[in-house]
Amino acid sequence: MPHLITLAAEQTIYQAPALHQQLAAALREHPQLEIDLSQIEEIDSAGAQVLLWLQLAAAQQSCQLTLSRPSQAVLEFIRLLGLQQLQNALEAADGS
Amino acid sequence: MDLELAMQSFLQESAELLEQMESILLDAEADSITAEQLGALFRSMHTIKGSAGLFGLDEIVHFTHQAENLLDQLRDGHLQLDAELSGVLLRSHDHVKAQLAAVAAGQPIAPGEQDNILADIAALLPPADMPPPSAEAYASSSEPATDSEWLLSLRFGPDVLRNGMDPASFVRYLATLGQIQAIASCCSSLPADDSFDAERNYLRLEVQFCGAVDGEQLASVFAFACEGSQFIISPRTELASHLQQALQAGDAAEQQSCRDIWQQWGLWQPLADSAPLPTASVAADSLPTVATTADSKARNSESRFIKVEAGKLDSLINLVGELVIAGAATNLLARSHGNSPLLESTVVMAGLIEQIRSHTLAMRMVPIGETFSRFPRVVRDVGHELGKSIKLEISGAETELDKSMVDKLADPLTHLVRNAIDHGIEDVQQRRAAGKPEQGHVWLNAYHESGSVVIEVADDGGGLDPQRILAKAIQRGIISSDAMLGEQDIYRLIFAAGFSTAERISNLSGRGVGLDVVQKNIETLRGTVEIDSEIGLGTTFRLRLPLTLAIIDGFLVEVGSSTFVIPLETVVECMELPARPGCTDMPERLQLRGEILPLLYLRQFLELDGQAGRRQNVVVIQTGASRVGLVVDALQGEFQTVIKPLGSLFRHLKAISGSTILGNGAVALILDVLALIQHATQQEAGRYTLEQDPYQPAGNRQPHNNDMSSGK
Amino acid sequence: MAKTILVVDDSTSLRLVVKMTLEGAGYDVIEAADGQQALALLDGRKIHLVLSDLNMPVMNGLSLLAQIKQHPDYRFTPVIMLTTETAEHLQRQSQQSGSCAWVIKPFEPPQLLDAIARLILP
Repeated sequence: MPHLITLAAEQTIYQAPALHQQLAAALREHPQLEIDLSQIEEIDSAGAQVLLWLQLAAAQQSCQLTLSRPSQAVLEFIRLLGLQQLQNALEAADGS
Repeated sequence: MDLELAMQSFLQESAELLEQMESILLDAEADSITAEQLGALFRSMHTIKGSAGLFGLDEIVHFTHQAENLLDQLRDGHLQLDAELSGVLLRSHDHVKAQLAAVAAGQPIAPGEQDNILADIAALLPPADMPPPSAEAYASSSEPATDSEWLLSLRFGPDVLRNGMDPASFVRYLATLGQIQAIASCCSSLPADDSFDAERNYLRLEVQFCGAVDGEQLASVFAFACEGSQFIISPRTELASHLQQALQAGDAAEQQSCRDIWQQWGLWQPLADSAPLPTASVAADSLPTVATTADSKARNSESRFIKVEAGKLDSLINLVGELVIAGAATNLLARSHGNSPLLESTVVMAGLIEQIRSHTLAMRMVPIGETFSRFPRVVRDVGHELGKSIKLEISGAETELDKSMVDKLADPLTHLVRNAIDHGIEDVQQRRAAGKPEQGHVWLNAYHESGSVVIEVADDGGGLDPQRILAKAIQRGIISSDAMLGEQDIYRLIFAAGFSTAERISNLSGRGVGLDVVQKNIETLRGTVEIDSEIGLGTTFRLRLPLTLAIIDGFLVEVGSSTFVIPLETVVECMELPARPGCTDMPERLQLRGEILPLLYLRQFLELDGQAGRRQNVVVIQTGASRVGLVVDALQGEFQTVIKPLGSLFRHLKAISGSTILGNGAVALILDVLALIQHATQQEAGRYTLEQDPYQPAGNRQPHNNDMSSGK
Repeated sequence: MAKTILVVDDSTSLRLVVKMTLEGAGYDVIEAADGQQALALLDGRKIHLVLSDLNMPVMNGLSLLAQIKQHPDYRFTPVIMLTTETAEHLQRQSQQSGSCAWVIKPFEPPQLLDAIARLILP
């Protein structure tokens, strides 16, 4: 069972540094991570960048990462900025 | 009236400010005025100017702007508050007061003393320090009349996020000015390790935009973020120079990642292997390079092929199959949620999946010629052995079909060719007696027809003699002597196990491997064999095979609660079954544009439960020359279908060729159209036989069928 | 949920017109007459943008900007400076203090809305 982390409603630059720390710690401890994006109501570029970083870091540390249940806000943001990298990860999670 | 209220507030506020200004000017001595008093003096004109701008009081703005400049100089110590300056400022105060009084009274502002005061102010100010009010420059943005297309490469600086400027905000704003046709983010500089700084911006955006704007307006969108950023904005018409700039910015990783984006959009083509700069000089230099590459390509054409283990290709095709299903599921979901942006993106995705599918399948497609090429040798050897002179003619060698099928076709085809030479083509003496050329002909012919591959093996031999076949079959106990068989059924007997029509069993045939093996081989490929024969003229074996074994375009139909898939390529047209008031029985055929169309009721044929609805639909299906109308309850439309073979338990089911999983997870059976058509035509033939009058048009006997033409 | 803009200006009439303009465009507006008052409003409530005059009594715009950029809960809030100073040194100064944008007074309501929309839409 992957370790599940549910992200809080607000994921903006105010939360980004703490989220980064939290996820970095989780990466060290768990070989499998699932990030639940369903509760996110507000996300900005800083928040999205943490997710992009997590993808890269997880791949580098061979952590099996799943980004799941994106909220409407997350999907809209991905579309707004053309964040194909996140889109692909979500589709991969959806297909499994 | 809110604006009225604001105006009152403005007038009152201005009056207070002017009062304060006057009292400071009257009280203060040149050497005792405090910084606070200077600030207050400045702010009085500053604030009046700012508010006046909001109310569109341009004269007041114009005048207070100059007074403000004067006070700015005073505040900064460039000027001294002497009697002269004080006098000018008091006159300015009086003038603004008069202007405001006119506004309050709703009268036009009189120029009054304005020009004189302005001249005096100008005399006091250093000449360079008189910038005109910049409001107009800001306000009057030129309006381009029509939409134009733009390319944007937005390299936001590292500090934009910290400064409260989210690239996303600019994109949202941009979207209000026109349409963002494509956007992609590049984050090649984002580190995977601990050097990641969550407050630093790593995003670069590439955008295609269309809107009624000019370049200046577009640039102004990002003006707030220009510190530390680089924005490359060009009209679409300057694509080349835009890419030259945009793709040179940043480090190698960023360049590559952006090249990928523009390439994906089809706006950038890699020149040679890795020429990063599509500049004129490079283009000129690359001419000879290109020539060399082409030359070397010609020399070792083999190296352009990669041998791939078939298993890898198979698992790829399986995955594509799953992808097709998943894509269809997403589309269904998006449709059921009515989420149109999602629907749009699933449509785009479906297009891509479709391309992947056809490319993947194309990888497995090989020309049948590979198999055909062995036959000249086979024909020569067999002919030689039997003492027959045979000419082989091959056409359609370029016709492509699934590699796995090509492999499995080699044996049956060899068998048919040998059979044609051995049993089809007569001895030289017989041919001479029949007035035919001594040299016999065998044709191998391949072509595509309505979604299948057809391979014909034909000869100009003696043809099949139905009487002889029938006699043989009865003699061998394959059929009973009282069997009633049509011509095709009689021909088909030669495929029966242990059948051989040649009086003389030759070396080549008669080795215990009969045509029955051919039949079986073809059937495992979901194909069929038809035979055309004319006594004295020759025989044609026609193999009809599906293009691929993995995926078909299906047409979904509903009967009761079950869904069935009809291979789309066999569907000719659909129509509603014409209602016939007063009649409860089911017509056996329709007259469709002058042709009789036998009907097959899927519910009855498959013995499904339930009652037919009031409205039923007819799907006209066709293979070869036979058409049948399949009567179903409802039509659901097209659906890409991955064929899952049926378990061995269901192999014997005649009219079902496989199953598939629908997007909603339900299982649907794939109809074997050929079997259905065969059944329907047999049933039709059976009716004619019973009615003892095969040539009378159906409509004449059953008047209610007569008016069934073109029921659209 | 409407975005909240803090408008800081010592002119009541300007605040009033700006407030009407912004509310008409769909923003929520809270007001302060100077930098000191504005800081008092940074009490944990959500503020999406600060629109501040440069020249104000008690605490001017630049000081307010510096305070906002040091405030843990508001340091990433975009700030637009309203200024009559076209002088570049002030813009540079506010830029260095972390200001993101400036609008030159006098302005008309559509110009102000345009500038704000670049940073936050209603």
